[in-house]
Amino acid sequence: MSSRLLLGVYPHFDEFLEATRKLRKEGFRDLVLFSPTARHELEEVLEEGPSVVRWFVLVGALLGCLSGYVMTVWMNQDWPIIVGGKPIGDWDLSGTQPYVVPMFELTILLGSIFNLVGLFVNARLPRIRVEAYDPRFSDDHFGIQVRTSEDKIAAAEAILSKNGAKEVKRV
Amino acid sequence: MVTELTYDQVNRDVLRTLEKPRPYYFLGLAITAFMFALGAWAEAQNIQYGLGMSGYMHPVYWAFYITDFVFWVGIGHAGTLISAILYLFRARWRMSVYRAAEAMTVFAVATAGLFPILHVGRPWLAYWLFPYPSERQLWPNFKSPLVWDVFAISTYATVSTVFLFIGIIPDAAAARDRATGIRKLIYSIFAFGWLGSSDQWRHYMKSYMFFAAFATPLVLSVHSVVSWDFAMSIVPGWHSTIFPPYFVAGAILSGVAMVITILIPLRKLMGLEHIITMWHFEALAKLLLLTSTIVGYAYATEFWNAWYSGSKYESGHFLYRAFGHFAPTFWFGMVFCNSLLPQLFYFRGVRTNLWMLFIISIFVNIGMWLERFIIIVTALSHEFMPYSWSDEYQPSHIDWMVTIGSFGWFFTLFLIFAKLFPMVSINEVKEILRPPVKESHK
Amino acid sequence: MADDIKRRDFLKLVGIGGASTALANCTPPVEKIIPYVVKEEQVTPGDSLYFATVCRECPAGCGMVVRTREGRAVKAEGNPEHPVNDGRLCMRGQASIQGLYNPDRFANAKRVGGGKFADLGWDEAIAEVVGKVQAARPNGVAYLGPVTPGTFDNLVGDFLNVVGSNGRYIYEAIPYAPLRNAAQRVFGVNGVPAHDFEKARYVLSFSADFLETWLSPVEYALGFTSGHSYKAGEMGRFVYVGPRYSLTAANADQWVSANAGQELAVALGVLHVIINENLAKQSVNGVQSLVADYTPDRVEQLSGVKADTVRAIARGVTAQDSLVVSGTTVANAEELAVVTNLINYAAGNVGKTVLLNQLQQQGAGSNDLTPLLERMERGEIDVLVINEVNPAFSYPDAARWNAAIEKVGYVAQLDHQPTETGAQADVVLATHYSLEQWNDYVPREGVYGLMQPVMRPVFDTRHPGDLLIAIARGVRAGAIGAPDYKTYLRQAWGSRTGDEKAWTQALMKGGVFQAGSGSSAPRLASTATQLEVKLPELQGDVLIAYPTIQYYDGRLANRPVLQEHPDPMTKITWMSWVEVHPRTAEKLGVKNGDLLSLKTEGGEIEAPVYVYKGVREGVFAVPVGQGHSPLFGRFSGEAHSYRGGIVSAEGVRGVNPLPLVTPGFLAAVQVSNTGRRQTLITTQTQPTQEDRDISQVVPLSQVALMAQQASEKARKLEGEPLRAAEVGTIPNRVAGIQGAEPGASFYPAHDHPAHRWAMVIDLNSCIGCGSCSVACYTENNIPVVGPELVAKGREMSWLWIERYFEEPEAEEQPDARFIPMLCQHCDNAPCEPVCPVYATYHTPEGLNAQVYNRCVGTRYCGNNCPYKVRRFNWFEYEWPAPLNLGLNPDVSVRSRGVMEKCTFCVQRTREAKNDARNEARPVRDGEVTTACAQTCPTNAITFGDIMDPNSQVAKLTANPLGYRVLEELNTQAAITYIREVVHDSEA
Repeated sequence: MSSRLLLGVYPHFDEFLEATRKLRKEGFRDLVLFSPTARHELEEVLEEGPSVVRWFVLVGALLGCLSGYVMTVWMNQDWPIIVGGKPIGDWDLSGTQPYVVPMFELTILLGSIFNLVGLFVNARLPRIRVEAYDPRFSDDHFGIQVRTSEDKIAAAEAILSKNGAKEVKRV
Repeated sequence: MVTELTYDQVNRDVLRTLEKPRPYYFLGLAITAFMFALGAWAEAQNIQYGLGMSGYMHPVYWAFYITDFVFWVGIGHAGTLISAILYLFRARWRMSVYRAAEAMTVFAVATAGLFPILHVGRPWLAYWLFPYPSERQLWPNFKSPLVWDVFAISTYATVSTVFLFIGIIPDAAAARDRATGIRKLIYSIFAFGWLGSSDQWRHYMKSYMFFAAFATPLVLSVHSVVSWDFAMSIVPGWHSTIFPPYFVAGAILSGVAMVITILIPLRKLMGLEHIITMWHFEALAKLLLLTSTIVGYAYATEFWNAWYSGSKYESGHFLYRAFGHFAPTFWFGMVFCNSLLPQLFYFRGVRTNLWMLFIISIFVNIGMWLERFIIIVTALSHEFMPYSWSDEYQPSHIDWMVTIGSFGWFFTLFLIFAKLFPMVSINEVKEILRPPVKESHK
Repeated sequence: MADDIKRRDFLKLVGIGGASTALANCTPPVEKIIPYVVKEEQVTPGDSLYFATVCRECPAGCGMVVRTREGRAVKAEGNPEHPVNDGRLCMRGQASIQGLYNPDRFANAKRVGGGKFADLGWDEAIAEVVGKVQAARPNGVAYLGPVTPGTFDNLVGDFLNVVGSNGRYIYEAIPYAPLRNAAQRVFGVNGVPAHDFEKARYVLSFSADFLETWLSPVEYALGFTSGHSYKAGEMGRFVYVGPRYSLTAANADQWVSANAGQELAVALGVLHVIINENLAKQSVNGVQSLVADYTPDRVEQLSGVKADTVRAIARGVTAQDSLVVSGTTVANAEELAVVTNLINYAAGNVGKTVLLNQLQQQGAGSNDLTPLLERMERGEIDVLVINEVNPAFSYPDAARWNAAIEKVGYVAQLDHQPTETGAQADVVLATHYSLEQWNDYVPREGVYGLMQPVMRPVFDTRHPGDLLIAIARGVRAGAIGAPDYKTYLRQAWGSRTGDEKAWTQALMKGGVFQAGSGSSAPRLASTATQLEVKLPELQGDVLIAYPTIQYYDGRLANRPVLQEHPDPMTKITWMSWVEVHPRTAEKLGVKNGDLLSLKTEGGEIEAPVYVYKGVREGVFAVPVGQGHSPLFGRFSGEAHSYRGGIVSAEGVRGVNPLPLVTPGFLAAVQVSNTGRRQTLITTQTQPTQEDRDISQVVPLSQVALMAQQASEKARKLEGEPLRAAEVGTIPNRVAGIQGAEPGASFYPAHDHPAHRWAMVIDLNSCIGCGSCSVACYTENNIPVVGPELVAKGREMSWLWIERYFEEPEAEEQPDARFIPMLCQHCDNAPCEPVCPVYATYHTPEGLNAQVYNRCVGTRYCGNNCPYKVRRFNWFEYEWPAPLNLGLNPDVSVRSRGVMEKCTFCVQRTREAKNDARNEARPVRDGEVTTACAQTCPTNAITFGDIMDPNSQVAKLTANPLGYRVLEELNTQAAITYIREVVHDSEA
């Protein structure tokens, strides 16, 4: 059966949170909240776990460090030239003291890049098509988007408006 | 504190700064652009006829350009400190100033990045320092601190740029929602279709935290690497283990000074006095006081090391630094500007006096530039071989013009940015405000 | 004759080779540039061809071998076969290539008018001279030329016969006539006695700068150092008496500073003591009366030399085999030489160190032209033929010369370059440079140096001999038995080299060298002691002019490399200065760079002050060489650095002191401070080495101890295996070096499979002359950057002499130490690891290589080099044509923006290795050497492979007196210096 979208716009943060709780209690699980700024209350009321971005970061960092090691040692093995009486760095890490710096920097670089990718993938950025949104969300209003089935729609609408929604839109 | 503000005020006041600029903005832009043109012309001379156009001499093989390089890298550091390190420390006062500081970082690094290229004898070959597969299969020398520089600086530039624009996404969205026409399009692009939905905020905050967590060691490593350009050599006055912390502290000192120098006029011109308040400046002043003290201590340590090492070369150099040909710059720059003057910030009266803040911050900027100049030029002028000792170094007009040009380049970028993007992070200022609630109306 | 033709053809072919490449650059092109169709015999592109000839940059007459490539002279080196210089050259000889290719040389004959030179056809020019000579009254023609002992003298004689004249005048600004006349008077010989410095255990010099300019400096430098320096527990002694601390004086064990012009008094005092204390080994009749008045105490009043010093000298001279020499650029040169000869005689040196059977032939040259001048003033001279002398610049009484030459009917100047005298002539006949000439030169009895063209003439010039012959034959057809000078020369050599084979051998050998004939037994002429002494009456301040090692008498001022090369003592370049004693400077209230005005009867000059302990109070010493008129050349003129090029302005740089002084090179002077300043352009601003121990000495008494310590250290380390850091390096234990212990390195060391090139520099031999430096310039295409850039410390020298004064401020006498500094080719080179692109790295043969093409120009290596031997190309430097023809094709010319430095002459190493490979044998020790080591007049530098335990360099490295500069940095330098042993009195 087709699902419908409701969007409630709230001028006040406390009522907005209250409404959210009510909806969840009534079994409306498919909620998206809108807020002008990051507030930990959002995660609390939705009872969400930590973001998976961190795994992207971990992988990126490890990959960066590894690539730094491979690059520096391989390039020195490929073109072994004695400078200042210092040894050519080797795979067993002997004489690779100076290569720590590139390794470190690459750790940071790839870590950050993977972090960026992780963010964009998870936060669905960039996005062109928008289902439900209200410009005031970026100013000082809050919003609740409810995705529900045809039959439950009226109930949800009631909860939204009863808890101080400035307006409730069917999208 | 800024808690008496409302979300809506913040939005209006900050986004107002993005509206059509007034004439003096274009005047400023013209001036900075002209400065940049001067520098560009001077550098063209260097490229056309050779580096001899600059004041270099034997044995002073590094001078103005490396000084500028270290100076600008240093400037960048305060930005990252405020935006990343203070973020991890949950310092609430950073929220209204970090955007400006971070922008400063990006442009300072963009400026610094020019100098390693234009100081070399054959700038058109500078790309040889990157490990790229050439048909001759020649690779760079990873033992050279200069190659470390390449990695450190390019990483720093990339990460801090990304960091800046990540921070802008929600604000760009705010701007997008109020703008019209072409401006709406621009901000839509930088907002990446941001909605401020709960899941977006969740990933965003996590990701932002990791950026901060990476930027923090990065910023420390970058200036350590820069300091190793000197410390890894055997030049008396450079070859010292205290350089990394000493340089990082110096970098933050100069950076914070530059933040103050920029913010004081900025908030006035943009009418953000109620968002960037004396509370913020006092915090900045304390930071400046702290780093200045660290730096002063490092200066003293250098001399003590020279004496304690018993090395005639080390002590020879530091005697020369303090009493030799360049001694005046040492006493004025390192001692007066960097070590003594900021000590005034122990007095609340000074910390909270904008004029004093402004003037002292300018002096610190000059002092920090001179510090780098002294470290580089005096060390090279007075090395191991008496035959090569020389007081003869003098910058040429080309050196001065390139240096001026770098300031032009920096401020041009900064001004353009300041008109394009909110110089105060709207969403993070809101973060520390009380959200609008029903009770508040009762 | 067949052989003869063959040889001539060969030379022509070499010439074509030269022309086809050379003419590309010099205008106007004389003939089309044609590529080789058939490869010439002997000329293989890429292979060097060597021609033996004689160096004519000064009258010493050193043998020279010129290296040519594709028919172009590129490098001058000493001729090892030649008895005078034994394969070595001074900086003047090294720079001769820049004389050959000098851009300011005459390209063809010139008509002179109003100080300008206008082109003139050769036929026209010669016809004109012939006409003038024919029109001249009997004996109306006079010849004025330099000393040219040999066939050319005969030709001049024949020429004068043909034109019916007896007017031959030999001019040398640095005269040796006084020595010849004195020898005539004392020993009754016609010539200057030869000197054997090597045998002398005690050398006494009265202002004779025999290491710089005096008579035969290269020969004497080697003789002196090998005789004087430390050997087997003892060393010689050298005392220098004179008003100025010259380079020669700096190499003396004792500088006895005497009042200017009073050397004669001191000499008489010494002789007095010898007679009165009966120290004489041979009695000198009738000398008592001569020296009676000159008691040590009177001498002290006259000369300011302590009476005891005079006595000590007298005893020293007579105690052992000694040698006394006297300068000729001093007052009473001839009388001084007479007394010097008497001392030598009394000390029994004649026949030992003073040889009467191998007379030096430079004695004809006088700087007193009075006889000629009188005739000129009387208007007796219709035609004056001047050959390559420049009295207008260098004659002491310049005013008189200038007036006199106006009275001469017609002046024809034979010269290869414009000179002040040339500007006074009516016509200039452009001559070949000495390297383009067939000729010979006899510096000494039995030494017949042969000169041959090393390449085809660069310009449309003529041989001076051919010109004289042409003129003579114009005057009287068929005069002079030969059509051209080469034939004339060949005929003259007929007796010496009968058949072609002998001639060819002579050409290859560089001449015919015979032992001195006749007896050198001590003898005294009746005139020996007939001497009336007139000491100069000089009240107050005295100006002295002194010839310099670079410019000799000023003739070499237009050699860019010599202009750029710093003066050995003051380290000043590209300018004139006046040396002033600190106390005198204090009195005048002047410091370095203040312009002083010096006024004598001869005129007035202004020169910047150089405060120098090396001159007596009240003495003002000005070097000779600068102050040429702009037409003399762009480099001697007011040259300026401009973006890597050198542009000359219509001005005069520096001053010429010669017109101000008497033939005794001194004059009373009024000194005043102009209040203006002229910054000194110097390559060394720090006079002392502070606490750095760069140049080390060891007192004679300490040598044994030091050797013992070294051997003990070696024994201590005997049992131990080589520590990692020692493998393939120069083990400290071998060198017996103090400082960094072996194994100080944090990393394991690398080894050198085949060779490890290394160098030893013996500071006992180094006299600080700088020949090595100039040799390096010419071998390695090092650019000359000009005064402004040198002032900015941008000179490009790869090798230079560091001069340090060891003097506590209170100390009265300066004590100069010299140390050649060049890339030390460290095993742990600090410059290498900091280069981001491997542009500098360590070759398997132990060289610290610099890859110009890879260099990006970060200059980090330069910062990190503790020896500061790396030079950076700030600009694209220019070699004004045809100087570029003298570039060494084996060495790349560096572009702007790259670092450069000493390569240990890697191109020479490569050449030697190629030869060895072709002959399937290892490189022999001594087969490969660097340009600096090759030319060092005193053999102070030794180069070789230290991995070969039998090599000279390996043996010398083990010298217990060896040390390495900045040893404590553990750079494991490849250059070992040997400490100079000095008499304890000096240490």
